[in-house]
Amino acid sequence: MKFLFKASYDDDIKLLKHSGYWRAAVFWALFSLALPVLILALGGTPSDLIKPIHILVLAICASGLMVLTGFTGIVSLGQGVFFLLGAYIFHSLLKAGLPWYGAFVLTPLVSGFLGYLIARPTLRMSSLILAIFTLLLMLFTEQAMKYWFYLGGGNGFQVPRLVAPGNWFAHALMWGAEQTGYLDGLEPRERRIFARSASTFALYYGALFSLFVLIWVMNNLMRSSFGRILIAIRDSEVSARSMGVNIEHYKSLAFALAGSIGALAGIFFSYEGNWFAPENVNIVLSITLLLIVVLGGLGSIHGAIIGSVAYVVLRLMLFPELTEYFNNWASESGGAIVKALAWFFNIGGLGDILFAVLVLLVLFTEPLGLYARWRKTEAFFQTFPFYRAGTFKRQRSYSKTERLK
Amino acid sequence: MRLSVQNLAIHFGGLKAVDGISFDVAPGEIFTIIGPNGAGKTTVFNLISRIYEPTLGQMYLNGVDLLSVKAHGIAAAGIARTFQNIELFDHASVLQNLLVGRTRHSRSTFIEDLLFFPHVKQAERTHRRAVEEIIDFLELAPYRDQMVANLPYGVRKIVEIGRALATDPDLLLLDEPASGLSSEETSDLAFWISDIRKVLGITVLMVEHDMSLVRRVSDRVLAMAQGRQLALGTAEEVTSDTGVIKAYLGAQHEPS
Repeated sequence: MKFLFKASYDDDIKLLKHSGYWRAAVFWALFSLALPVLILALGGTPSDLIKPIHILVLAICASGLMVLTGFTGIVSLGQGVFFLLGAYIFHSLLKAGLPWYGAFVLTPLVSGFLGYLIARPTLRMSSLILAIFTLLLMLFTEQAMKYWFYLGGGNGFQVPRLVAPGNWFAHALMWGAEQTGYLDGLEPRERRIFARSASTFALYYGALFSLFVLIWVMNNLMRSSFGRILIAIRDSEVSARSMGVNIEHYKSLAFALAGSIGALAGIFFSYEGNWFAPENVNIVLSITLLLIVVLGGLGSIHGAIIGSVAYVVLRLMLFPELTEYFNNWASESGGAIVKALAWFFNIGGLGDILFAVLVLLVLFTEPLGLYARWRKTEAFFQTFPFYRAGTFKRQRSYSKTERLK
Repeated sequence: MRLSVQNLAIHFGGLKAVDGISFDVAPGEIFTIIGPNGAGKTTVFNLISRIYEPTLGQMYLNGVDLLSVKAHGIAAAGIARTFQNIELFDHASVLQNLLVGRTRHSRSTFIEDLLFFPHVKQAERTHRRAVEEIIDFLELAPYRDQMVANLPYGVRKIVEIGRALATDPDLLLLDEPASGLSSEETSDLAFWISDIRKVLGITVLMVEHDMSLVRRVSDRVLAMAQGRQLALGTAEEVTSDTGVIKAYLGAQHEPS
């Protein structure tokens, strides 16, 4: 069992509050940094990194949505708008000849400003109307991007090879390969594949470092006046206003922040494939992001990340694996049960249905999402064997006199 | 901090919720508004805190025209308020609730907050110290890190007063602070209200139904009915006023 003795106000302000935080931070940092190496060491190929990259991209985008939905209480179905805008603004700037890092910094700023503008007309809307507004905005943007002729209109555009960020990493990899003579033994085609793998690594580390910075920024948000104000707006607008909060201003800022974070994710998302078209981002993605945030747990940064991991691992990795596994098994040996299972897994849209059922199950048992479950499990082990089932239960408490009535 | 309200009125369509109320609250005074349900007491509060736009009338706080202040500007003008049906931030801790009260004193921009510059950290410490003084004053220490949603009703009432005090106001508006409190809690509240005036030097304007509390703490009482003033004076004067007794109880009853 652990007791925390707070000796100064800084104990509440600092990010890594005790050794447990340190251990977790170091573990996850090392794990995520070493993941590509682990994958290669376990016999994987660089293209296996695409799924982890997708987790990172979704986690970044979902964090943006978390600012809006989890902290400020604005349900938005339009996070995909910024995803698209981010990709398009970034590649337009790149095509216009801006250096990579210039475009990388400018895109979130421009998108954040657009988010601020988008927020202005929504400020007087009730939450339902606002959700519908964001939905329409998503549908509109999806179509509008087809007229972005600078980048190929509806056909989309060829995504240039990623050279930065982590350009240094790709270079180091190439340099190492040359020095060790590894490249000499390769055919020209294999050499190209190797170079492409290097850019996959660059994408992974670029997205990872962005997520690291983002986690730091979001934690700063939560411990400063800005974050408290967002939560105040979520819980009671009228009293937040009387406490001196300019609601319109802060709601717009929340939109702007969600917009720039979404655009950041959009930049990395565009690099996941060789070709980027407006169809790559649609309303389904926006809804998926909302599901991720709800599944992970509203109101915490962990929620956005856990939700993304759960979505990619369960829906995009485990489900296709299972389908393939049962298909193979069914075609090899013909047990009736196996055949039935293989048939079941091949039902159209089953993956989405199962994921929806999973989200519902989690919400029924754990309204605050997977992160709440994680914390309960953590508490169980920390206080073992003294964990009480009611530790986290919200209970109506009464003062002594109230109980006597 | 003198609050001066002149001929204040608000009409919702044909309904005259407040119909020409005038009063002055002197610095350091505890001024109470009483009246039967629907008399327009809370509406007066909402007018002073600029949630409603008055149809007629003027309000001045130490010579500053309150009509030129926006709803989110009243905290900076030196007014803090509580609400009849507690409006706390339920899914935040008591500490966080009180810290939101310090918004008025926060000078950092959101970019500085996001990057948590050293001066933001320094400001956080200052805010925390100020809030801790209020926690001490209202004896909220046992609840500091608890979520508001889990607190008993009586404590929540006090937390709301604490949050208002955290803005460091000159004038405190308390909207039925004793409603739903037990008699024990109400007598605690009476001490706190007089201490708020005595120790912190804050002027208090309050709406209250509990006449025992009103008698104990108020310097002057304004009785309202149907948006109009019935009587203004000390608690004794007002409770013995025939118009007030009539409005509350009907003519044949004795004042309680």
